[in-house]
Amino acid sequence: MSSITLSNLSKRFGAVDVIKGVDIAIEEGEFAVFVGPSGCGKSTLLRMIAGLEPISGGAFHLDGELMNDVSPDKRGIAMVFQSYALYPHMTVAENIGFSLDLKGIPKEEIRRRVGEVSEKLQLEAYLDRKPQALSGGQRQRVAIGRAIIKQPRVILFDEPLSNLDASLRVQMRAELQQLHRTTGATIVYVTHDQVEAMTLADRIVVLSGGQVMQADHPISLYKEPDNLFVGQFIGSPKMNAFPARVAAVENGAARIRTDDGWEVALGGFRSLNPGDRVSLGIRPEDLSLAGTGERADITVRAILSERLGMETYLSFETSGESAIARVAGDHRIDTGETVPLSINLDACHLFDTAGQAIRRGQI
Amino acid sequence: MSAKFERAEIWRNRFLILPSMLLLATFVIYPACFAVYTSLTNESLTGPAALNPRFVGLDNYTKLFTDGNFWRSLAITFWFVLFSAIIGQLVLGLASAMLLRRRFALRPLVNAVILMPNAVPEVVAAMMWASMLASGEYGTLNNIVAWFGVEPQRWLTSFPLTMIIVVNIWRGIGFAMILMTSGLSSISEELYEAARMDGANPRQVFRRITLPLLVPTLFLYLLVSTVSTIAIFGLVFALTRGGPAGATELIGIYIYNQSFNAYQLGYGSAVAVVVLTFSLFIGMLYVRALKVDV
Repeated sequence: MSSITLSNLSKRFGAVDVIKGVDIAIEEGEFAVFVGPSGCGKSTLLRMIAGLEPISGGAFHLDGELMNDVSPDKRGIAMVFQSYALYPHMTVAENIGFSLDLKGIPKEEIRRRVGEVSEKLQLEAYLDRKPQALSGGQRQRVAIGRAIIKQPRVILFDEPLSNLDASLRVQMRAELQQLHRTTGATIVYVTHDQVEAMTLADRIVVLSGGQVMQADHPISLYKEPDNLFVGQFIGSPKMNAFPARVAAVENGAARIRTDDGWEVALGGFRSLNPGDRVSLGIRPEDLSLAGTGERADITVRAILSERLGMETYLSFETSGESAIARVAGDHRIDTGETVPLSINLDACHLFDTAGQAIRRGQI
Repeated sequence: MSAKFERAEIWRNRFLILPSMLLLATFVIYPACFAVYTSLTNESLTGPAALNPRFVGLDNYTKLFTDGNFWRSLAITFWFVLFSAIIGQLVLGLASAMLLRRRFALRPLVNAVILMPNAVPEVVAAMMWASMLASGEYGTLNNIVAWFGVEPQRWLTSFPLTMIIVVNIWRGIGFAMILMTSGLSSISEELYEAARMDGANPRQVFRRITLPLLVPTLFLYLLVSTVSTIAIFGLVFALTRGGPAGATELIGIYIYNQSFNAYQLGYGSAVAVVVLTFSLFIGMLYVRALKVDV
């Protein structure tokens, strides 16, 4: 159990800046998830924490201790690799006990600790097997066993579920949460899958282009994104962004007119001036079908509807941009049909031209 | 898949391997069978037996077992294979493959230097080494050792077996290196990283990760190099002709000398058959070992 502090951390490969001055604080026992699109530097950041990539600039402290120049095995950090990196010539027991064996710990002690770990991970029946005779989920568990037997201060996971099929992923997610509860270890987890991030994390760090876009609790990220990137990255289907202009500000409510010509009135935005250009962010789930007799906020023409049974994804186009509504229930909507939609105005977001969020009540 | 389609497929596959089967039959199986037949006769290049070779049964083989020169030649071949192919080329080939995985300024040059000996025809290589190892003050090696105050040596007379072992190592490192490089590159980088996280030092990484995972490549190398080194002829023949006094008479040279210098084709064939059997046996041994471990 340890706290991690990254201060102005940077990484350069030749002339390319991959990590550009990152500040992150992860508290003791926290489950932190680094999430971001491919190439955003999340795996590099993880490898810098592990000690597999040298740190070009800034500082990495573990429990207040500077770790920049400490070798990987002396950091007290264990890592679970994306491909698991199990030693193919060793049995499950040898894989799990390898780090203890290298330290010269007596065989009897190793056997006892491997027994404990394998019991926790339900691997007792496979201890004599080689990795190639195991299923994906079992390999995953061996990789986790190899990490936790070291009783590390921090466990790092590099996209550990990406090689598993969908149902196994759900199961392994639950097992990882259980692992976090029972070990109490600080965990840093890298993924590009936002469902994994949302379900596992105490804190999500959203990265893009080697910079932290926002670091917060998953629900805070969802409800109050700092910028349009985070707004669109967290949530599926992604948040719709409509180019718009402030038409008027009256009694603390701003009337926002999109380039397509429809208007919404949003309360609480006091800092806006008429004429300001903004992006209006509306999550697909905040758009719903307006019932008969109900007032529709907008009327759109359907391009495509995807019926999932419990809900329907309705794609429509406004001012050349395609947008999507996620409406509850099964609806049969034909292409070209006009559909009245109502908007959950309390859940709308506004972003300035630089993509930064404009908060309600902000002065 | 219908039975008819399957049958057609089988016939097509047989047809595809036909050219290589024909080549093997003409240039390997037929000569080998002919050698077995010749080894059972007193076929010779001169004298009455050259005109009317006689079937002598296993006479050549019984003679062979009491022939001290045959056993000496076999022993020389054993040491030659052991020190040049199994130890020298393998160790240096693996070391250079590991060295060349790192990035350093002279890497392409070192790579070329190691591979060059393979590109030289073996007789040319032998000529080069003859000049290198020449006795007296003109020998290149004598010139080099003179810098350290060492007297000129008669390298090929004083240390004949050692010298041909050195020459063969020089020639074979490149091939060993190529094979080892391919073996090393099949080991995932993540395994090395996992081992580093587990606290393995470079020596432990080599012994516990690299070496065990290289076993299939090592066996493949040993199979190819043992059998081809047993069969070495040109390089050593051009350099020493098996001399001095039979000190470098590898089994290939012994077969040649018996057949074409002593004119005893039947006896030479018998030796060749024994060596063939021996090589086949070693090959089977390695192939079996490979199957177990791959």
